[in-house]
Amino acid sequence: MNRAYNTFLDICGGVSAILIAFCALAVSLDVILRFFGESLMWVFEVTELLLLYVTMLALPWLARERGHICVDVLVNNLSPANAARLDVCTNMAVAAICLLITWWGGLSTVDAYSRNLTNDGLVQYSLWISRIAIPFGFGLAAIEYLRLSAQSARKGVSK
Amino acid sequence: ARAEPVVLRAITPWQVEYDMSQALLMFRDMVNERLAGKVEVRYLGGPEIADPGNQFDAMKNGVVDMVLTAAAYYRSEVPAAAAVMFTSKSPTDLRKSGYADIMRELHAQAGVEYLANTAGGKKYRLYFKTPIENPDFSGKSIRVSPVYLPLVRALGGTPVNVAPNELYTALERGVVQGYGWPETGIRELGLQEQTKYVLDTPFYSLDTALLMNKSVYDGLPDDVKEELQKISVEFESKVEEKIGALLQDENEHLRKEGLNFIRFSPEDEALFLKTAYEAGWNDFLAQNKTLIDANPGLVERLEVAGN
Amino acid sequence: MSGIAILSLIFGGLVGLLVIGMPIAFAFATVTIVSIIFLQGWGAPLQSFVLSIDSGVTNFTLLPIALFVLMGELLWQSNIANKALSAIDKWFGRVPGRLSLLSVASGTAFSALSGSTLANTAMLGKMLLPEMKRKGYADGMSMGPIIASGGLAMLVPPSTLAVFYATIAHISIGALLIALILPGLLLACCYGAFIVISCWLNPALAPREESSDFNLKEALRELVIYILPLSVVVFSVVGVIFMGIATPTEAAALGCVSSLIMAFCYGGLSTRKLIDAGMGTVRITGMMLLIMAMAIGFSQILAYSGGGRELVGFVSTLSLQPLMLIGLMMLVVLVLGCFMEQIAIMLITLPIFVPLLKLIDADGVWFAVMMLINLEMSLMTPPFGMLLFVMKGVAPDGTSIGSIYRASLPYLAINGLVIALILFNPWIVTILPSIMK
Ligand code: NA
Ligand code: NA
Repeated sequence: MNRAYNTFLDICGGVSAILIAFCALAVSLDVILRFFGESLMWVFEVTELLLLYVTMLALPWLARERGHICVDVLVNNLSPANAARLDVCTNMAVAAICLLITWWGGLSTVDAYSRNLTNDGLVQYSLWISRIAIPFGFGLAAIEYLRLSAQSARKGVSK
Repeated sequence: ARAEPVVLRAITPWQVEYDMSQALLMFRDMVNERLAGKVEVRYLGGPEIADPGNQFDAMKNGVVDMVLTAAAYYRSEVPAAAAVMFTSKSPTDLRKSGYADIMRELHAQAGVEYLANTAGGKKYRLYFKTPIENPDFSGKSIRVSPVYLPLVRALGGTPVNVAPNELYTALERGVVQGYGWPETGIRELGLQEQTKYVLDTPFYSLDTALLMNKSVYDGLPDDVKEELQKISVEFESKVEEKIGALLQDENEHLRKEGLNFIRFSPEDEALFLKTAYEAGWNDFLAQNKTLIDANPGLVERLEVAGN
Repeated sequence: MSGIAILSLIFGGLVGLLVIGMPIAFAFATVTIVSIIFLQGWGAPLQSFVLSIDSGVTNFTLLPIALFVLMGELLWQSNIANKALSAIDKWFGRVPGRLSLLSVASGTAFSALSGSTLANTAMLGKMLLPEMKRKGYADGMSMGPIIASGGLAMLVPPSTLAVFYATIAHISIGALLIALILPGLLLACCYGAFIVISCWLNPALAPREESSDFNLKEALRELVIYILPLSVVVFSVVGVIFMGIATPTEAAALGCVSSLIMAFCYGGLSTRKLIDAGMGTVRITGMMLLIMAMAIGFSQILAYSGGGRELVGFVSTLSLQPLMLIGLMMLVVLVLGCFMEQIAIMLITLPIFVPLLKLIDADGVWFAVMMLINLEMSLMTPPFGMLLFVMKGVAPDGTSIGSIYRASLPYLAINGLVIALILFNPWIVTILPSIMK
């Protein structure tokens, strides 16, 4: 179970990387085609949308990798036990914030879906497609930060 | 003791010097004088408060109560609001012809009180860096927003999507040779430095409007609502006077900066305008198919009251 | 409660959360959400906050962050970067701190290609930092110059931030862009001078490797072979911008593609390394974009609270000598810069500063240059400078943020000095625009 979940997070990170590469290729293609008088109008909007997906897919994976950077001046000067305690608290708080964003992001996704909203750019797509990325990313991040809290709690006990 | 006045927080998507932000300040002063003690409009700022595309939501969600914005910025919420672009009457005449009431209905369905059309007779036009002699845009890359897309496509140009703050560089380097913009506002982005020709054939009407959160509006006492509506009507005509003078001023400024005002031959100009309206209107009809199918007669009402 | 009181509370809260080690993006989010609940109410306003996350990242002009990082990763993983470095290195021979100088030189060069300080810093960090660490460079000679010269991207044209400034302040964009060239180069030279002097005084800062004898033929051969792929990549970015084929943002994409092609041609890219490059890119891009998204919501609630406006208004009520006034304006920008996003700072301060400048008859371009350098400093001021976070992201594991803070301090001081220099010698700014006229 644990392993399957970790693999899933790795896939999220991997897809994020593929999307960045796709953006590079798509924008290059657009520039080259424009040179010959054609223009791929969708590239601009799709790239913007993918930037959101890149961020949201990377979010839970980075959480597991402890890649969301923090100021470690105080933490580095605490005893291991106290550092673990503090880590439990901050990770719980982060998880709570993630849950809140997941909830409100979920509501705005449902809203966009039920009212059939589209974006207001040059190329149109249903808005729920972009909005759903936020509850997805933050929902998984909430789980991840709860797991990190549990990890630190165990570490704190064993010290 | 007297009750505290109801505070209405207001924002716009533009920086404070832009004419439409100034219009909001004018409305603020009118309300604060005429409804002193009852209502206080408070201007909070521009795009630093909320992204232009999110300001309509900010009003609906109660972050602010009032917003003076463009239909292009809430196309996702009220796509039918763009209809106002294809009217030929001035805002005050649209008020008389009952067009404002149609707009009010359409906005009410989205939970918004439509107070005033703030276009003031302003239109859109095209600006170029390279010379252009006739309405054949083939081989030209033109920066568009949804407003100009159908037109530029219909005239054979290559529409390009460039972020507004990159447009200066895109023109400077020659990535695009032209762009569409309202009759005022290019100086807000410094674009006049990279523009040589103004196609002096304005088209469509601007889509700006003053909107208010409907539940906040409905919560006001009846006499205040009535006065607010009266002020809005006066505000509409005041804006119209202001914009008329501003447009003169803007053109003088641009001429002084060395921009050439050009026009096509009369036949070409007629073709250009016809294409603009047909392409734009057809695009509008396609965008609003569901609404139009559900409201038989709406298109006719819009066409009759608007022209 | 007054706006300034709210401002201090929000600021205090943010510092508190950062100190207890909450990840930066979430510290921003927490303070923003709590402020929204207090100032705008529980409920629907939080939905607007979520929308600000969405619109904050779905922004085409952020694309170079991802793409320049990817470009740096590809050049690094395929060994093109370090081979080119050692080829150049041979020519620098006995110059003290030559990798540090190289980072300033390439930072300045790349700043002429991109307007993104974050992208510039991340790419330089990716390409140069591992080699510097391996050679035992001190933090102040490795991370410091990378942060400082990465920041030049927003000063040296093209710079969307400068364009934005000029439009809000109603000064000529062209004049401002030209005026920024000399101060940008001046900053680079000062960084360079600082590096040479420091390393000369204390050679341990930048250890010198036992260099084998200089062989002209060998050095020339390496220069041609290893500089060539890098030049192709650089040309694919600069060339398309200057030939008007692509905007600077789009050019970054072409840079990525050409890096990939070069990497394949030189055979330095195994599947393993390609995956490493991809995941390395996600690690930095994901971290940076999330902070950006959260910082925007934070900036918006600050603007909503009116604290910034009040602070600026307060300064404008003091009747001061022109130089004092300008100094105080700079101080306000520096303070706001510690915790606000740059565009928001401009939108809040400039409507008040510009009329004040007119009043004392100060040159708009001159002030703009000083303010832009000041805004650049805000990117490297502890505790919230974005470039410091970028550096933390690219630096090897175990690099503490404290050491990054210390590394950036001397360069902050240099920026301050250059602002003072310009304050008393306006010709540094005005000379180029007046010649070009
Ligand atoms: Na630059
Ligand atoms: Na900062």
